[in-house]
Order: sequence, then structure tokens, then C-alpha cells
Amino acid sequence: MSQTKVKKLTPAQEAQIPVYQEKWRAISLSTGPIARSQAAETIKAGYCAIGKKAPEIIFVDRPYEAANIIASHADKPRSHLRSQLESKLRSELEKQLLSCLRGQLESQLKRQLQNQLENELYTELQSQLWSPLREHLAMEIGSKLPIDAIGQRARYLQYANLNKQLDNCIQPELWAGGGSLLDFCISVLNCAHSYGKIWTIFQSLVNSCGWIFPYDKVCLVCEKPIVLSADSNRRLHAEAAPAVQFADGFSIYAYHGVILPEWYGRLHPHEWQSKWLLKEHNAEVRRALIQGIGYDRICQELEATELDTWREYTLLKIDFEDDLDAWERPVPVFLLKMTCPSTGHIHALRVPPNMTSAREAIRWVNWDIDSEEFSVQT
Amino acid sequence: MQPIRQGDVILTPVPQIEGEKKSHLTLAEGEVTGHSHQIIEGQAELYEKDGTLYLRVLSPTALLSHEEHRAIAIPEGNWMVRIQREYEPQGWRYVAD
Repeated sequence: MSQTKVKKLTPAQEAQIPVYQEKWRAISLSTGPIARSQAAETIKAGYCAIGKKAPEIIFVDRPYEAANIIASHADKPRSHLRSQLESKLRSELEKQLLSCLRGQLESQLKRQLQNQLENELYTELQSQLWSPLREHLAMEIGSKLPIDAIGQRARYLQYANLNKQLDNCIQPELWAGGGSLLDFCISVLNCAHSYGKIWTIFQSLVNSCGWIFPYDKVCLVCEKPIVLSADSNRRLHAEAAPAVQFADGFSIYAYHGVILPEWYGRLHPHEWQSKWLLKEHNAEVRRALIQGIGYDRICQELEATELDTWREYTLLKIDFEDDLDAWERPVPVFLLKMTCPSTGHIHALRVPPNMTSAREAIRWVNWDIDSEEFSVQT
Repeated sequence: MQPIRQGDVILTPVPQIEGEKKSHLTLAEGEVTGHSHQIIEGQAELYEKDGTLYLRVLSPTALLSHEEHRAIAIPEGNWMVRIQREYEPQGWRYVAD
């Protein structure tokens, strides 16, 4: 291999960065159904690369189904799969199929160039899209587990155990970030490497498989979603439609990266109602509602009165008759509108009805710490 | 030292830290975004006592990151981690995202 390190990209090479970003973004966002025979061959080749025998491959429609199979076997002492649950192969496969090749290719680049390419090709694709989906699926798995005679505790332990199994899950769409970096080094910079077969397996795996739960003798392979929709910033997003949908109909709704309950997500934002803001407990969902409805429409529909403004904070009063105090009297809602200095997003938090100024209200939200007392706020 | 705020996470200096050491450095995680406030550079430890997290920064600074907020260099020392609160007719609740 060449001993000369690549220090700087030529303008022609620079121009190829977005091409490779787009190529691997499209792979990351590709939908099912997967070609099961190709997926099976790829899994066998991957196992062979880490010195393991070909496993029994079980295809499932979506990650929840895989988790259910794992959960049902985890409780059966004689289960074939249960004995496998400790034999997690994710890190071995990741090392052999991704890290070794990546290390060899990156050793041919000057550190500064490594950082540039990592930021532009690897991190960019890794960042926004898949972590909320994974969180949501983990929550769904937890919330649907049956409660047995022992009740919540058993359910919690089962959930914790399942979460450990999720740590053993390979998400090929996340590997696409690594794929763009490797592909650019090999195809554009002509970096030499000794992992030709591994590179072929890697590409096939990212292309042909959904989530993979690899154990010693058994490997669960999920279908890719049949719908996968993202915004221009590569965050899960769709309006009046699922952002993610699997073949069995299971759907996830999202608005610019925020996972929404179905009752909001299936409606277009112009159908969203301002009064939902006053009942929604999740601050990020509320923020998405504000973004979708628009602050002006909210003020108009709720007949909000601006009581005071201080810096990026505005104290609003809304006469909302649904909210009653202990004596069944209507309680006005006091909202603090805040514009985030980092993102420019508008947030709204409910504050006590005895607040008289925006500064007093944000002090209450911050546990009685006045804004001037913070050394940094971002 | 003065308090620090990143989004809904507030760090206030405390004289000492007690509690059970955690195996991660995630101060808070968003349920519907998957975004998290976490230490990504520097030496630090996270502890939990009675449901409250405490951060010990061992290096001169440790970098607190979040996908949507500017990163903050947290100075060496002991910090209590608090989440902003919001009002509800029954009292208050932590801001949940």
C-alpha cells in the first residue's frame, strides 16, 4: 500500500462529496421488501468473515416482532434461542465488516482530512434519522409486553432485558454513514486496502437487510419499512401520513424529527387545533404543534393576551374554560413563550397563574434561578 | 461557580456528591426526538441519589453536547442536574420532551 498520505482534496474530489452523501443517503432511506435470498447469503458471508458457522436465519416483518420472539424465548429455560441470548455478535461483526477496513483506509489520510470527511460523510448521515425511531420502537416494545402475575416489576425487568438485546442490534441504515466514507476513500481517493471481500459483504448487508439481531447460531433479520419519509434535513417527517410504515401496517408519525402520537400525525398541520397545546404534556410535541400551527394562529384562536415581554420570553394569558380548580372554577392558563437561542424554535411552558412578568415566570421555570445568574445558556 | 443551562437541563454547583455511580454520561434524553444532553469530551462521572442526577467533572472542563443546542464546556467541580419545571393545576411537573 502507498505510504504517502492524502493531505488535501482536489476541487474535483471535493465536488464528489455530495454525490457520495446522496448515494448513501438513498441507500439508508431505501424501503422494503428486502430480497430475502440475498440477505441470507450476506448474513452467512458475514458470519463466515468472523469465523462462525452459518446461523439459522429467521426473517420477521419488523423489529417489534423480533423483540417479541426474543422475549418469548428469554422466559423458556429449555429454549434453543434463550441459550443464545448472551452470544451477542454485533461488536464482532462491526469490527470485522466496518472498523478494520475503515482503520486501514483512514490511515492513508492526514488527520485533518480524516476529520473533514468524517464530519461531512459519516456524522452527517449518522445523526438525525434513526435514533428517534429506535427510541420509539424500544418504547413500543416496552409498552406492549404482557403484564404477568407479578405485574409491573416483571414487565420492567423484561423490558430492561430486551433493551440489552437491542444493544446487540445492527442497524444497517446507520452503517450507511460509514459506507459513504469508505466508498469515497476507495472510489474517489483510490486508497488501497486488503479487504475486497469484506467491502462486498458490507455493501450487500447495508443494501439488503433491515435490522439484524445476530446470535451465535440464530440470526433474526427484519424487513425494511415500506414507507420511510424524511425532510430536507434528514429528520423523520411526513404530513397527514406515516413517516415510517412496516408491511404489517405498523406506523410511526413524525414532524421534523419529533415522533408524534397518531392522533396528531394522521392530520395535516393546518387541521391541528390550538387548544391541543394546553393539554399536551410533552414539551417537544408541543413545540412541534406550535411550529405546525404557527404562533399567530395560536394567539388568535386561543385569544391569548400578551402580558409582558422580557428578552426572548413573553408571558401569555389564555382564558381556557376546560381547566378547573379544586372548587370547579375555570382557571386561566398562563403560558411562557420562549424562543430558543440555539434553534430559533418557539417553545411554550405553562407557569403559575400568579406570575406577573416574563422574567418572574422564567425564573420560576428555572427553579428560582434568575436568568442573570447563569454563566452560560444555550 | 455560577449555574449553567442547556435547553431544559440546568446545572447548579454543589459542594459534594453522594449516590450511586451510573455507567453512562447522559444527563437527559428526549423521548420523542432521541436527542440527548451528554458529556462527550473530558473526564466526568454521573451519580444518582433519590432520583436526582449529579455530575462530577474531573478534567479542567467537560463538554456537554446536544443535537440542537450549542455545546458547553462545564468547569471542573460538582454539579446537580435539574430539569426545568412547568406548572399544572395540581402543582408542578418536570418538563418532559
